[in-house]
Amino acid sequence: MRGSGAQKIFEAALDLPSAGRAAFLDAACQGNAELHEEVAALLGFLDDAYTADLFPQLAGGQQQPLVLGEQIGPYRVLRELGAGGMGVVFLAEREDVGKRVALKLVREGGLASADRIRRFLLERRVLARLEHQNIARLLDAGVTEFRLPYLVMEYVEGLPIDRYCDERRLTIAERIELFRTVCHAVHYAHQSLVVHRDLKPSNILVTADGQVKLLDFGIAKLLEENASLGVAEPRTGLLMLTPEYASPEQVRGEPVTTASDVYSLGVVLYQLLTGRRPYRIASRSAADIERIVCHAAPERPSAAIDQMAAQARDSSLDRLRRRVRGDLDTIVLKALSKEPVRRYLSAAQLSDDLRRHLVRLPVLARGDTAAYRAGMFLRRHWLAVAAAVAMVEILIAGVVATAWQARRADAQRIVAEERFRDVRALANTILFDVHDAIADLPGATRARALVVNRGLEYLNRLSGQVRGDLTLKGEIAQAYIRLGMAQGYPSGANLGDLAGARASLQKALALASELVAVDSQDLRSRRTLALAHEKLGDVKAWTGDVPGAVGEAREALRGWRSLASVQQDSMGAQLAVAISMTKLGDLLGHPAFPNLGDRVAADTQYRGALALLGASSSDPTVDRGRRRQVALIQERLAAMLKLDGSYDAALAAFGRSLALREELYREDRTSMDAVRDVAVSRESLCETQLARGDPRSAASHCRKAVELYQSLHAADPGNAQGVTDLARAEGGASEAQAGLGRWTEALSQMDRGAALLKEFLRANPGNLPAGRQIARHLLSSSILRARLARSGAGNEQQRYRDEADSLYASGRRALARSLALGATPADTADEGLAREAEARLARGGRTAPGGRR
Amino acid sequence: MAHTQQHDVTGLLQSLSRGDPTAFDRLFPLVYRELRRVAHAQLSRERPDHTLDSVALVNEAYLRLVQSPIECQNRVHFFAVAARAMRSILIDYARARLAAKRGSGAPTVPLDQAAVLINDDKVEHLVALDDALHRLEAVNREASQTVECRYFAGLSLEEAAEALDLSVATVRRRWSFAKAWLRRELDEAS
Repeated sequence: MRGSGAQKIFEAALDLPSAGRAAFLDAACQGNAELHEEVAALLGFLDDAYTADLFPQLAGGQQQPLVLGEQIGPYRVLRELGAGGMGVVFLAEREDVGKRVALKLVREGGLASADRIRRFLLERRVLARLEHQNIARLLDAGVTEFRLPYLVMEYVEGLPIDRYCDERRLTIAERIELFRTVCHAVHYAHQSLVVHRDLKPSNILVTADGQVKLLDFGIAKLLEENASLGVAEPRTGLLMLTPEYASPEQVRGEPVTTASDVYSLGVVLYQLLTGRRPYRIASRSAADIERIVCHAAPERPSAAIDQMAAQARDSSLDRLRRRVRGDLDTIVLKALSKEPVRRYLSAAQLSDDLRRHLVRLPVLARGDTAAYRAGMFLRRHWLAVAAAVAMVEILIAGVVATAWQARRADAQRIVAEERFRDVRALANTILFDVHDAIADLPGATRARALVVNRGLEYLNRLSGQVRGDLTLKGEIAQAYIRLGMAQGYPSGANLGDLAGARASLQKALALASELVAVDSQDLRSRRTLALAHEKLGDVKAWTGDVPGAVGEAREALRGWRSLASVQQDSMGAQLAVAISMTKLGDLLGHPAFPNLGDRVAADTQYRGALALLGASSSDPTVDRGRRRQVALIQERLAAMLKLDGSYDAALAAFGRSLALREELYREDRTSMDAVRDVAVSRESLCETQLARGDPRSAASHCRKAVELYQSLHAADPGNAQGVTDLARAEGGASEAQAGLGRWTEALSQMDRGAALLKEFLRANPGNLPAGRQIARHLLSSSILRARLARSGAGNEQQRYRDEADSLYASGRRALARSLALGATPADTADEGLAREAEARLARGGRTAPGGRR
Repeated sequence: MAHTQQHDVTGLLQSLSRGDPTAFDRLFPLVYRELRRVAHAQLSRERPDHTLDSVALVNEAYLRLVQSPIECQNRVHFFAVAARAMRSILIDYARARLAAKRGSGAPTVPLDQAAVLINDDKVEHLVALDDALHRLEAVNREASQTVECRYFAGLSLEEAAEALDLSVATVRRRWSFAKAWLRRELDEAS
């Protein structure tokens, strides 16, 4: 009988923590696939929410599902906080710890409809993935004894954002700053593929200490669920929406994207600035709502301000109107555009434009041109990248097909040319705007390559049709650089495909050279050419061709220098020169890179670069880059000092570099680069302390480095750099532990790093940085075990010796592989490691079997 | 009559608690009849706010059958029988309603008191649930009995454990299994 075997296994699995169930299942079913499938399916229904509607409440029964003062799980209900479309929210207290929480229960007693339960489960999933300081946290979830699911959330004691601003009489600038925090929280949700769909002041609370908290994801939507094309999305009922804050597409029942949240944010901003909402919707009839929201033009915010609003903003009517007129009008109206494609690309972009306004930079909203609009539709969807690419394909295929057909008919020539421009704008949008929007996001490496590849395909197709279009060629060259970097640029997030990267960069170089040959004065082509040289140099170095790499680096430096001599914005150009000099220095003689071993020449490049970067820049972006580069060069110089044995001077220089990097990180905590920079500094400090003989200080630096790298790796597991970084730092931490005599920790840490690399190399066998790193790990691990074998107990000794032997052999093999890929002077350090392992094994009373090469 | 019945019930409950399996079957018709009578009586009081629920019904049926201070041991065993009886009453009614709804020529549903317990939109689900419960009984009888106690008689886990002479932990596991199993079974059927 189907089921009786399943029952025993199912019940046994219940006693296990959910993490251990899969393994137990495998063991218990002993290869019986049918049984395995059945139990797995049954365990899938374990959540009470799935079975809540199994037993309909019999009529009569408890009508009132919840009485105040009642106990729900460990919570006692205190009072009702509010009721929404989906459920009722209560203030409750967790009895055992006295903590106050918000408890949300499905509305109405009796049988909760399957749909409501599904919604509720969805909200739970939505909240579970959102961990952000400005989003009310999900604390717990369960099912009441009346089989109604409930959610327990952080209880936020605060005021709706509009009231908070008015009661504190915040100025416009203060309001904007507060609002930008809201944008960041919304953007974070979007990055987690969640659209809120019901943003309004009552869902945006501000606590007494000024903390913003986003609430109520009750009608939120998970983007990936409906992301694929052509899947109809259930229409959000009009009743569920708050019409004053709903976007035109929401009102019309069309698919909702992140753009809808941007619209609602626009309404909230309008209200914060003016004290009014853009529309007054008195009637609740669907037709009236649609007419107003979809067709009426909102009044400019500056015109909507009255005396009362001015007072609440600590300003006079005139002054406030002047303050809002211009940029802020434009920004708000852009967010409120009827067509999603004309709004901001993201909540982050809206926030950034507000920041630009605050620091008096030109705002993006002003550049709302036709070409800009053409691509907006696509940009909007960058979140669901795969879906976006699919959409791009269909869209472009359509446009391209019509374009070519049209081109055949002379009469429609003008239309055809317009189409051609559209395709090109589209391709560039994907290549540059979409790419840039996702470039610094965790987890985006694979998406970046995908997006660039697709955009490139279309540009290439266009270039096949039109020969001799130089601008188009330039665009293709730049696209190849981006593709190459995503594929395998070693000093940035990349997919570990060095050969692919080299090929792409070589194509870029060829195209750019052609363009410069045609017009040697064209700055854009010259920049592209210099950039192609620079990136190709890095890739060549890591494929083992160091002399070739130095050649490229010198070419790049020549290019940047000549550009700097003709360019007016000196700091930006100087920065490019300084970066280029640093790179050249690395290849000439920095021990951490494949290099020519000429340390004096390297030092000259570093100091020259540092001299160029002395003055600060008024452009904040340029200045951030400048400071980042200064920190980098200081680190390089410190590493050289360390190599000379001047440990104290090296520590001081590394410390300066770390301080600067921590400052940059504090300024922008979302940047992956900033996090990695701090981790790199910690690692360097760890290594220096080790060399200096202070394993205790080393261990503390290394622990921090490992933590930071772990967070980066977890956020973007496909990133090759993240893998080698983490493994290398684990190796450093292991050495520090060994220095402290903590052998077990040292061993497990080293092995963890090796396992990580092994897994990565299985998928990317040709990746040189990872290949070299694993050789180091295996050899270091062998050394550790050989040392243990000399100190441990009898049978332990034998085991460690055997392990040391086999690790040495694998380490040797890995080293040979990496040397075969490209022997460089830097590898002598690894060779030294191998010798030490060999010597240790010999001292352990053994001949190293791998020693005979 | 009332006295004999009362006597019978007490005796049967004692047999049941001693583990006599035939006591269950002999007790069932008595409990079944009594439950229907209680439901009818409840209804005929014609209170506009008649609030019948399974727990109240079973409790009242027990009091009327035994009419003596409730002895804990007897009472919980009674519940196992009552749970089965409740299930029969409700499902009989649901099946009749369903047949009438489908116009299968079945006699009109007797105006049974169970009507107040079931809304029309639930009859199909209940019939399907009953079918699934029969299949579950073949897989694990305790699991299906747990459902009867928990759902049809409205017992808590602890009460169900006593009624079925099982540990609370076992009942909890059977309850989890039964729910998941029924969910899967009903999903597959639909």
